[in-house]
Amino acid sequence: MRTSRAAEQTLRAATLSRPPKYVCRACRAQAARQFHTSIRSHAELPFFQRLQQQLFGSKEAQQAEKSREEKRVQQAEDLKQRGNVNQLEVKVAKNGQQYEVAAVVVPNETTDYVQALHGKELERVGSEAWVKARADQGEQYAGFVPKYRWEFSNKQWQMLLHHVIVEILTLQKAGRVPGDVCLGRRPHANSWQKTRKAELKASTTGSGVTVSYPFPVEEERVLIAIDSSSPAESTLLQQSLTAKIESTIFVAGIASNGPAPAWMNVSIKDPSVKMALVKRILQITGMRVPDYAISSSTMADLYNRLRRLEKPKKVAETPQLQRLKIDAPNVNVFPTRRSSIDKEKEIGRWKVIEEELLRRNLPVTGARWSGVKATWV
Amino acid sequence: MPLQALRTVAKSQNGVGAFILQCKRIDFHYCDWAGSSRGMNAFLKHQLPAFAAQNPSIEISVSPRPGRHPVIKGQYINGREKAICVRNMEATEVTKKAELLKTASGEKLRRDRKPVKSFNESVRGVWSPFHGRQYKI
Repeated sequence: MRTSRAAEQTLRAATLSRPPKYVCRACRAQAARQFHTSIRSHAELPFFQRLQQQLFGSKEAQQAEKSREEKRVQQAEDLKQRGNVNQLEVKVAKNGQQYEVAAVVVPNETTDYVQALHGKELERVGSEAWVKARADQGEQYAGFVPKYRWEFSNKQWQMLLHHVIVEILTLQKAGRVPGDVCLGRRPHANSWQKTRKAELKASTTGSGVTVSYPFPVEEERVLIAIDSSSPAESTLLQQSLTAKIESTIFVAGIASNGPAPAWMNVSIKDPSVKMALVKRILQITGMRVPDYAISSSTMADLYNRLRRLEKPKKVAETPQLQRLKIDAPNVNVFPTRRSSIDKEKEIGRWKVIEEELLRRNLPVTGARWSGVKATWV
Repeated sequence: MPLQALRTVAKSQNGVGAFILQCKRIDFHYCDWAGSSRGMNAFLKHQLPAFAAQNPSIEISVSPRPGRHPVIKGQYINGREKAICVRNMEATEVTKKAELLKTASGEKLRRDRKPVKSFNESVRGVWSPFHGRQYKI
């Protein structure tokens, strides 16, 4: 037998006067495993007993089932004594959290129990919302970052950045903390329309940028709209703001095609202003501004790092080749791959080929395999 | 006796009276993505207009062949086609290959074993073993 041979080898190795120089770890582990103080077969149950246990269950299992039954009966009796079935028993778990023990309804004994025919009115347990509600324990949590990241065109980015920086600088001018730009807005404030008219200029004192409105009333309205008592913008409000950004009419002085407009040369070195700018961008668009963009010193730098770069043009779309079509009449530029069918069409042979293929019931385009026309039954 | 005209037709030779360029069409195939096509793309953008203007009798077509090396294919009057793969070549090298195709005749490339090539017959007659005084038949 394998086990006795291994044990013999182990004993031989142990009793040798000159033990071998090296015994591998596996052999040593096997030798250790083979060591038993009693005979294994004596520990096993006889066949008849094993069969009995499989069919009728072991004594331990029977005792456990009996104790469970006793507990159930005890619970039912406790309920009867308590009288009010609706009031559930409250227990305290190991982590200190309280929980209610579910009611045990015995259909045979409960007369007012009616079995449900469909699941519509029953309590639904275990859904994602149910788990979240349990975890939140009644607290209504509204996230800072929107669920979805909004994608804007370059012009929309310019309008958005203008709106945000104007609000931040307006707050700073009024002596408020620039971080307040992330607070809620009063309903129907429409400060988006008012910030469009504001102008940004480098301050004469040399301490950064100043914002000026055509009418002081508009500046006050922008400040009033940012209200700490209003709840922070929820996802729905963010959606409406981004919808406004997407549908807004571009103002020529603020947004332009191509490079950054002139107003973007304003410096944003003030850390509080930059922090508020980055937070507000995150709150509105869901975009986490990367470090290399945050280190920008001007709005133009920030814009260039955030904007979407133009997709590289294909050779056929470049202006040189587009011009070639007009300048050189002997040149044909094709934007897509020319297949053999295109070549035949150029000559005028394709009509004939197609007609003949259809007449012979062969595939016009696609597989040349003869079984291609086979239909699945 | 009245003069009789020679019952022959003048032998035509390309270039004697008029010259007809043998290359009738050149196709340029490129890839927008592959790196081997950079030189070809640069040639198409910067040097092709001049090439096309210098050769108005050649029909030029430019079309992409995605995922393949760039190729120039020339079609000739004798019905044959010649292709040159210009992978990893600079724009100037591509120009040279285009010139090569333009100036080719379309015939297969052959190695001339003889030093002289002529359509004219032998002037003094082709030698045979029966030439010379010592052979009497």
